[in-house]
Amino acid sequence: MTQALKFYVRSLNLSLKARRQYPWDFAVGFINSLMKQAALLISIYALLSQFHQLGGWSFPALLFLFSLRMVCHGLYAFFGSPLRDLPSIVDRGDFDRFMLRPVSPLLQVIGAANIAAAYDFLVGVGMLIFSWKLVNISISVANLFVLLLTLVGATLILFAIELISASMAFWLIKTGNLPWILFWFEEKYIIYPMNIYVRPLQAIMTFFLPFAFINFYPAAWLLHQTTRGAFLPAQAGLFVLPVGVVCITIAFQIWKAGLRRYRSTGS
Amino acid sequence: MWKNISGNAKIGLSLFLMYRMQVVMVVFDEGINFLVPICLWFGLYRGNPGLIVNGMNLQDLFTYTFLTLILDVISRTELTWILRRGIRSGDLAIEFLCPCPVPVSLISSDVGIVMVEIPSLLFIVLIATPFLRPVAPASVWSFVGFIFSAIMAMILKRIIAILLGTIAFWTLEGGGLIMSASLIIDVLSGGLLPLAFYPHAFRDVLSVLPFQGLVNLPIEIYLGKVQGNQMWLSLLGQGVWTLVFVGIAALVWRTATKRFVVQGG
Repeated sequence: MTQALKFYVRSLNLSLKARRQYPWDFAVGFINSLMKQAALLISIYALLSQFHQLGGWSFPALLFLFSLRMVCHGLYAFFGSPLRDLPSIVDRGDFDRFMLRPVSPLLQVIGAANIAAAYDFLVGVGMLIFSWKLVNISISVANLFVLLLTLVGATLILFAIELISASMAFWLIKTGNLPWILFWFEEKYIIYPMNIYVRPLQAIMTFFLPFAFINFYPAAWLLHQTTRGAFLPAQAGLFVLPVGVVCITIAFQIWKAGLRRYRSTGS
Repeated sequence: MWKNISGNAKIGLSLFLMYRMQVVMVVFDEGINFLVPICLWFGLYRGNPGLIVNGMNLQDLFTYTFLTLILDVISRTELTWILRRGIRSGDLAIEFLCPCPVPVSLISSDVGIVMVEIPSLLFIVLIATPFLRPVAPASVWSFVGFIFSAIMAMILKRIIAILLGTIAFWTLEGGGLIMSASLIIDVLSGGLLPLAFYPHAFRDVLSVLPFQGLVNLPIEIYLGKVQGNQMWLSLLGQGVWTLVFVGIAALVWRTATKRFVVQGG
């Protein structure tokens, strides 16, 4: 375990070192992330300037929801988004060399940090602080503790979903961009309150792909915001960590089953 | 030349159809794109379905969503990423050996993949129509104008995709920039939200830019929001922008390929 951790830390350092070869990249990436989020926020703001609320959520509350998603996603993506490359690695037959090395294949796949996600994380933190003030949430120990649990739990949920979708490559080989499609699904759906969606879709995002626990329920709890129309009450936001633990446990079992089943595609 | 183009299109189609899961995922992707805006409009108009906002009622928005998806399917392209991968790996060098200009070769291969989107298109039409009940075009001329505009949107989207892909000639790490640019174009084209919802001043600026020709303009023509002489002028403007972008893309391509160096094999 210690050896594996040492390998992972060293691998992360190497990828950061490689990234430092492009000194302008940090500035460009940061501006990039700002522009991307600004484009989305302008759309939401334009919409709410006409309608004033969405599912009972005002623009400041939506900004908080949006920021919370960005922070959680940025944190997870920094460590876990290299998993999206797994289907193409398996398809090319390059996964064989991961199996031959005396280190966990999973650690090798996620060994390269996704620096672009760090930009999203930083921008998200800035927006979260700004929106925290806008919605007047008190800076209490309880609220900060819930926020911390949300960050950890949401990271586990996102990592688990990514791991399961990437593992499908062991069975299907060509997964048709399944990891990316789930990423876009999450990116498009959870920036809006869950209670605007039809019930079957809410059921999927609460009980099957628990994206609702990433930002909607925690935000609803912190903001004392309505979840009218959603499956669960705002108190569900306190259970993000247990949901994350369950998800990651299932994901690791699927990953191990996939590894046992793996047959090379050749090269 | 035509044999090369059609040959490439067939190869692109065959490669895509090799794995059924890939085709299934394309259909699943359409479902995702279809449901988000529908739920959004329901959420916004809940309790007030007769509301009209800047000339758009709920039925107009459903039709807008329906047509956005159709335009998205026919304009969809992987050219940016194919080009970027080819440049980074050096495989693009092989394309230069073909007796066909590289951008033409790439576009023709892309056209083959568009053909496989036809099941997705049928899925949208079959599943979405009973729910959305899109309105018929405002007139015959509106429909004709929509078709012309949609064809130009297809071409313009691919030219923009190639332009974005050429970023990789100058920087090794342009992936994030490409994704951001794509999202911004999505906003400016009305792909994310109809331009009618933006503030007046912002709309005026967007109306002279080429991006509204990708989504908002064809749909406004279909709905009859832009008709008569205004429609023909808008189509002319869209055509001019398309030609301008073809010129820009040709210039950028010529400049970029001069500095293209492949090290080893």
